[in-house]
Amino acid sequence: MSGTKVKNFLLNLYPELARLKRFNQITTTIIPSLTPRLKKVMRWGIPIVTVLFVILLGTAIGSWLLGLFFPEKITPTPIEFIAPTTTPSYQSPFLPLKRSIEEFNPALPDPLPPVFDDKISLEPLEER
Amino acid sequence: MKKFFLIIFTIVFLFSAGVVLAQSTYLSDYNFQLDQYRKNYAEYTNFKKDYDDRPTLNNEQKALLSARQTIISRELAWANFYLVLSESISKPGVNYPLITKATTDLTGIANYHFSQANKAGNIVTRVDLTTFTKEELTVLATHRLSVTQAQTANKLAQLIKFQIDAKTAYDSLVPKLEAVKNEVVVKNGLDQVQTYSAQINTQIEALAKKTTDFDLDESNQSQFYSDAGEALRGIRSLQNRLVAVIIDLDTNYVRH
Repeated sequence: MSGTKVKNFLLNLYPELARLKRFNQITTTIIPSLTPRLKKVMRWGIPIVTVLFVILLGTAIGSWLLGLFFPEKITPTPIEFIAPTTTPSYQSPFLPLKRSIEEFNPALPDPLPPVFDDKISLEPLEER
Repeated sequence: MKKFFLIIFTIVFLFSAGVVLAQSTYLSDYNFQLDQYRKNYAEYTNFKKDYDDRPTLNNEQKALLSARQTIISRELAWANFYLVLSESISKPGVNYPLITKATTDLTGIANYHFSQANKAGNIVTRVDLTTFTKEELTVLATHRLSVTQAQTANKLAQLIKFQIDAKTAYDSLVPKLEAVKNEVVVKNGLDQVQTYSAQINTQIEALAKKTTDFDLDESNQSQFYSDAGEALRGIRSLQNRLVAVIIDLDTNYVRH
């Protein structure tokens, strides 16, 4: 297969290439002869595959770059936890003791002694 | 059969009434004598004023009799006040040196006032009255220390009772926690109970010692009340935390 054929093939495949000067100079050696059906597949297949490849490559590079800027998450091992055996209606028999302690009055003097007149006398008492 | 139930009912009723009466005798006697004292003292004040204004033999006699009645009701009120306090200290049923001393002291003081009430019946002259009052003032000064100690002992008796109840609760709880006793939370809870108990016991002993060593001649009574009140608040706070842990263990870690 001659270079002209390849050139013609490419021009046939991508007519826009005719506007490029370089392309007009291209003379390649071997281009397989393709059936019109295969040409059609290649015309649409190559750009689609290229676009998908670029997207996947971009995603992979992006993920790698993200890993550089954010440290890897460390998940701690689960802490030992005992499920409480609570019965919703259960009232501890020690609650009255707690209430008694809360109601305890620590103030002194208590009880206050009554106030009486201890100096009952009909005569003046000497000051002690 | 009816007779049998009637007899049982009567026995239960009499027993209950007896218990209620026995518990409130000192308090009702105290309230009665306090009431009597207030009435008598109001009369005495009037008669004394009359005597001071017009010192006749008649006015002197009226003031003297009124003073005697006032003193008798005062002495009986004092005696019953100390018995009420003594009863309050004994009520929790705590055996502790300071508490035993306080109840003994209070019984002695109450007996002194009962004997003074009898002795006051012999007051017939102005001189008798003056002598009686002078002696009374001397003795009352010696009671102040015992009364201060008894007031603190009264508070400590209640706190020691709480401590005994908490210990009983803890002892009943430990076997129920056998299955989970090695779990971290339960182990920490039991350790906290031990720590709080030790701290409470130390503070109770410290306050009891401070009360026993208290000397009215060297120390300020108000300052003692303030310090002792602070110590009592501290003990109550620790007991509150102790019982909270016990309740938490009982509620959340014992299978009911």
